[in-house]
Amino acid sequence: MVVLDHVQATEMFSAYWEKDLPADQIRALEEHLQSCVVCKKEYQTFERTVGALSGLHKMAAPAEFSDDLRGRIYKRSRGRFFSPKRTGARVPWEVISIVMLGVILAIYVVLTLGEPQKLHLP
Amino acid sequence: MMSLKEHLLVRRLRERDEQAFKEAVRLYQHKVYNLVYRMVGNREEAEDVAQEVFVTVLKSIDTFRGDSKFSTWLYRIAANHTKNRMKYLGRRAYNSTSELTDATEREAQGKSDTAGFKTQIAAPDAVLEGLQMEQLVQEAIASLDEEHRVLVVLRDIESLSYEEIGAITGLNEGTVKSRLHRARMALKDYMAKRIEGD
Repeated sequence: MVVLDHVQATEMFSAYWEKDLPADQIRALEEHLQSCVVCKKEYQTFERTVGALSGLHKMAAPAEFSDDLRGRIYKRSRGRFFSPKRTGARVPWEVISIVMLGVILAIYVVLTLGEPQKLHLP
Repeated sequence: MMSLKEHLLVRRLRERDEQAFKEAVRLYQHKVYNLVYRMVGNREEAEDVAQEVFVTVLKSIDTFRGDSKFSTWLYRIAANHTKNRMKYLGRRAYNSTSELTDATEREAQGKSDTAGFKTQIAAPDAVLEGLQMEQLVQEAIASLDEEHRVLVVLRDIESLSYEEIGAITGLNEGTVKSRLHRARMALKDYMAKRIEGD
């Protein structure tokens, strides 16, 4: 059975908290904490402190973060990125290309339907 | 390693696709802000540093080799920017706890800008106790030097793995563990002193 002193015991606090200790060292530390009031109190404070860290609120970025960032990059890049013109008045090429395809198809259909009449001519 | 989604995002970022950049900001702004805020303890500084992190992402995306997760690379940039800012502020004798009382008061008045983490309000006393504890913890973090502070924030607040922390800080796992233990013990001593002193 391993017997620990105060220094050895406190050195194990983090690994014990993270459940990263071998079984024999867990037993040794728990034995020590049961018999040593000082280390027991120390570990309770340690546990409360580390527990409080993980319980801190997650701070959210301000609502205007994204807009401010775009403004900053626009300014720094001298208008190369996030230009209001480029983002706001962007030409919808996808829509234009679909409409154009539709127009071409319509012209093709009209022309093809008109062809047979020509064939009947002498 | 990067997921397929991250691969696609990085590829579009390299093409300087503005939509991809907006997507990256949407995905990571809160994580980056929280990391920076917990290290500097001041909202204005945290916002400024977090914005600089994303500016660096846009400028340096071509240097990202893809041998770690994109988020790890982003955290590395955030940690470095924050450490540099803390050094700069330290030279100007900045006190990062100066805003803490104000922040706590604002939160007590229900004007917190924390999102998605609203807690059940049991009783005013319990809320006040929680806020005091949060303030105390933030003060304790501020008492650490930046090398220890970053480890506490990455491990105990952001819950990152030791592997990720190693990739962010460039330290091996053993060094991270031993420094983190020192940092936690320093926090524990600070808390004990403050609690016993009150």
